[in-house]
Amino acid sequence: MRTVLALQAALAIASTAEAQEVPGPSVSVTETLLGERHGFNQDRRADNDDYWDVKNRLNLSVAGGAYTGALRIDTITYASPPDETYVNDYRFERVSLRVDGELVSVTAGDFYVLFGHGIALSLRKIDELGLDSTLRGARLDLHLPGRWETTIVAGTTNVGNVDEVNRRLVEDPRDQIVGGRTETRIGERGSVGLHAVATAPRESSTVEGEDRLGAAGVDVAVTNLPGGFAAHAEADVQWRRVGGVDPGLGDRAHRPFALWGDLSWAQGPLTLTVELKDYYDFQPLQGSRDPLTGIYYAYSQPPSIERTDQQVPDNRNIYGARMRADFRIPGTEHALFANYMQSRTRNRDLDEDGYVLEDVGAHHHGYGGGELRLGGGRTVFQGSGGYRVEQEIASGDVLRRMWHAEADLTMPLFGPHGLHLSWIHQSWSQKNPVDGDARLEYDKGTAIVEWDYASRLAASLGFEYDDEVDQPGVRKLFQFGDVRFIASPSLTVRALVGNQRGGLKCVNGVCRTFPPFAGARAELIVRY
Amino acid sequence: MSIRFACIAALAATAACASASSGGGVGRRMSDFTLPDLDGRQVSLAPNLAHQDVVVIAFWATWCRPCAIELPFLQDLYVQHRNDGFAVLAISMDGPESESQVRPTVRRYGWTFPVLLDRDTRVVGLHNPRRAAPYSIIIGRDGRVAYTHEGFVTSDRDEMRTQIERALALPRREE
Repeated sequence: MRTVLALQAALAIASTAEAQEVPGPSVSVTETLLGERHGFNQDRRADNDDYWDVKNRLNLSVAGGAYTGALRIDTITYASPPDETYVNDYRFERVSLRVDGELVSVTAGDFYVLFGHGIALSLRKIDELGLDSTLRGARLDLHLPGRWETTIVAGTTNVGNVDEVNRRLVEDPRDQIVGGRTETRIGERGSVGLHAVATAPRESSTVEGEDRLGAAGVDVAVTNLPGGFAAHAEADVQWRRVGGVDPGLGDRAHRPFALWGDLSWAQGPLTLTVELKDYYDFQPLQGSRDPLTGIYYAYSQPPSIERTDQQVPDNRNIYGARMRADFRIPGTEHALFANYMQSRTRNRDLDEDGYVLEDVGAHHHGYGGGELRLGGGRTVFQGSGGYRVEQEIASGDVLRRMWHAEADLTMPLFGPHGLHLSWIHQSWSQKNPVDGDARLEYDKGTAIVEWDYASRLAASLGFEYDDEVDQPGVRKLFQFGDVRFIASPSLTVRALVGNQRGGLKCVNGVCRTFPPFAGARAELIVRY
Repeated sequence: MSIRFACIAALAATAACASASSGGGVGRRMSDFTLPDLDGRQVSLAPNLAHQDVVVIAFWATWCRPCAIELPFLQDLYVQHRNDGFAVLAISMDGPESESQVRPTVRRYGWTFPVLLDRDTRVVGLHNPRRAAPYSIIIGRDGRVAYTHEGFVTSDRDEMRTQIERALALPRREE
């Protein structure tokens, strides 16, 4: 209550200052109000049909001098919920105060944090998956600008409490995390960083004892080298105690590790990039179990070297490489790109001599495309496609294969009218887990036609298809209409009616299954 | 629950009143930030504010298709107006999973303005809490937000150009 009153007083002062044009704190407010009607979405589940919800998210930040305060209030209210697990909720989801000094910055409250390349620690917001975890505690940043940076963090984890996927309420896991990182510049050409992090989940994965996980690593960046070279690399080791026991100790000791690096070379219109990874039994920094999904919260995210939205079979025991070439056609604005990725997953088994690694799966993915820009960049066509194979090494069987294509056209029509067409498609074939001789074949995709007018109005029609679940009563075709109206810089209104497909969505190897949507959605975005 | 709800409602109402005179954040003073560029050098907004430059802060990501339309357009404007005190700071929202694609993308399009990395999303969290991509903030010569825009469609080009050139037309204040 005191916090609220103090913030209200600060805001009132800010308001007066602004009205009188006296330099004062900078206040920023972003509010998103979302109302949804959930109809019958034909996913064979009755517990997510026929209800209403209204969700509001108010982001407020106040910056003045050395101080920056931020607050986020999340509320959700249900009408006619299908069961008692849908609970109205109103809460201060994020609260933080940061004080910046010349050499020291201190943050108290909620903050996102990432060490190195996210292999040891990554607490970020991944909107596409509805994942949003912060550390609630204290953060100390010491810095000699341009030469040396040190960060120390300690706190407990705070997740977004209304799950974006299933709309249920989850409580904060409050897993404890402590970590530190120091980084120093090496002249104008690079930097070296060291970091270490440890976590103590509030709930253990076994009844025998407590879990403890930790990781430490070093990362190097070398950029701006003669000849157009740049490189980044990171190496981490991990230790863990599961139920009070370190599985890495004993007479068959092993230590999980992660190696990742990239090297790029740019010359004229050509840029080549090679990315490598080798992860040996390297688990994400694991917290408590999410009671809704049964999946453990993960507070790190090693790079996958895959396409961002690719489902990755295993990112813990895997090694591989990706090569990418980008080419800008001289004298034009047109560009081409090509990628090839190969990786191998492996099993870790015990035999008389200790741990033995055996390659079990091989993945190949080639994809490429181009971009055509005409009329001074007013008309842009982007096209791409590729082919992916996942193979079982022992049998030689193809477990899954997929081809995909994407096309996107943006062009002016006449006067202030514009047109946007886009299409994405994936065709999958995978080994039937029940009948090994048969294969499951399915397609999924989205096509959208959008018209826009004078930077104010955009209206689109979408058509989607997904026949992965080929069962009676499950919808396979989806249609929706979407309108966005920018009334002013402070107000945007958006409305959607129809059906949208769900399914597996992945970002960097983290996947969640979303239910299909049927009904109507109205969104109001207000910025002050 | 009722006390908490009342507090939240009161706070929301105060927040709305606090800045009722401005819309879209327009008119608020832009606070300084510092982020590393692709070569690890620390880049701040403060020097641009001190020079009374017109600055576009462009939030983008390699996986965002409309961004691949907007940022080349900003590059054209940057080449055209950089001697008039026009600057662009492009803040990449890519995480570790796609950060290695940032440099090739910048090279492919030939962007010459600073491209910054916001690895732990601190600046994004403050100035673009919805994590919209693309999202652009135009800062005028007085250091205040002159215009904000979420998304980018064909007809946004003319509006963005108008807003930027209007901001550039204002003279710098005498020191």
